[in-house]
Formats: sequence, C-alpha cells, structure tokens
Amino acid sequence: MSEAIPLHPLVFTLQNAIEGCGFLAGITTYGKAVMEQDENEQWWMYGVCPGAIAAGGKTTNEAFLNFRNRYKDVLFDLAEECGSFLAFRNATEAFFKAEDPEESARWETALEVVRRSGSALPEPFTELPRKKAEDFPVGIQIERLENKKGSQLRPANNIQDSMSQAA
Amino acid sequence: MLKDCAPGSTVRLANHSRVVRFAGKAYPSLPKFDNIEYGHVRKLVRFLGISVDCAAKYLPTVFKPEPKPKPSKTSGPAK
Repeated sequence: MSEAIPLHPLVFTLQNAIEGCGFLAGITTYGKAVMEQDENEQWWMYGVCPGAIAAGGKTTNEAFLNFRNRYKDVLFDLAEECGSFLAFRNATEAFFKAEDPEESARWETALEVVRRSGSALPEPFTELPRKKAEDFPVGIQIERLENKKGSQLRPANNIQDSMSQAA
Repeated sequence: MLKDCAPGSTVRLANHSRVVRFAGKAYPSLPKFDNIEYGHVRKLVRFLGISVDCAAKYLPTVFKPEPKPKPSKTSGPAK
C-alpha cells in the first residue's frame, strides 16, 4: 500500500566563489533540506543544515533556484561584513553549522517515510537523483582561491549545483 | 510580532537580507522585500524558537491551528 509523502528529505551541493575585502573564497556546501508544498500550492525548501534559510517557488526547481540565490545573498552579506578571510570563514562556518533541530527531526522522519515507500516517490521527485543519506558528506569547505598554486587549479574541482532526494 | 513574541530580538538591514537575532541565534536570510512570503516567516519562527501560539495571534493566516502541508500522493510501490 502506498503512503502519502508530504515532506521530502533532500541533500544538495552548492559551489560559490565569493569576493571579499582582499580575498577570493571558494565555498563548497554539502547540505540538507526538506521540501513541502504549502496550502497555496507553493513549494518550500527549508534548510536543515544550514538551518537558518528557506525559499519557495511555484515548482520544486524554482524553489531550489531561489534557495540557491538566498544562500548566495547570505554569503554576499557575510563577505561585506568581514574584514578578513579568517573572519569570513568563521562566520560562514557558523551559519552553516547553525542547525535547526526541529527541521532536522522533520528530515529524519521524512527519510523514514521515503524508505518505507520504497521507490514509489511522487512526481517531480521521481526525476531527482537519489543519494543514500549515510553516504552523503554533509559539511562545508572554505578555501582561499587566490592563494592556490597553478597546479592546484583544476577543472576537476568544479562541482555542479544540484539537489537530490535522500534515500 | 517579534516585539511581543521575541522580546529583546533585533532586526538589522544588511545589503542583501535582514538579519534577525534572538536568544543567542541569528537568522541572516530574511528577504528585504516589504511582502515576506509565509514560508520565510514559518522558518524564522521555527529556527529562532519563537512560540507558534504567540506568532499565530499576530499572523493567523500564516500559523493556522495545526497547519497541514498538502500531501503529494504516491503511485504505489514499484513492481
């Protein structure tokens, strides 16, 4: 018997290059979020890690796009307010690590429901790649790009922004 | 709502977002638009640990009693 899935556990990857006062920071974020549709049929992506962020849209892809832009806006503000790379790195890590415990519990419950439902996900989530939650490396990498040597700058370091269904 | 439900909270305008601080937590991603969508407010309240009952007094359309998200139906288990 199929089970309604009101809340979807997601994992996502975002890569940004942010200019600050005298530094160029490369930020790669491996985060968690949940997505649900509200009473106005608007899709909302709520951050779990980082927890202090949300964005909505008419479609799941639009919600993800707005989430990505909201995240970028936070990084832009942090870059403007931090006078050094170290201060920016600390502030960005603090933002990422500010987990939302209630959202985290919702994510875990949603994951259990998805696992009970097997492969019977509703559209448009059937089109998303699936990633095993335990294998997804939640975390953030912040590095100073302008200090990298030529040999350390490689196309292989480029990562596409993406969201996946946690399974 | 914040004045009553999150006493001592502060709101600061950064260049791209509003930064709301309350009870030692910071919420730095509230949009600067005049009309803020429901989802942002729900997340803000949840993240900062603000009483939903209190918030509902000011924003009854955002925090209805027992708001239920619309479930999306599955098509049944894969064969």
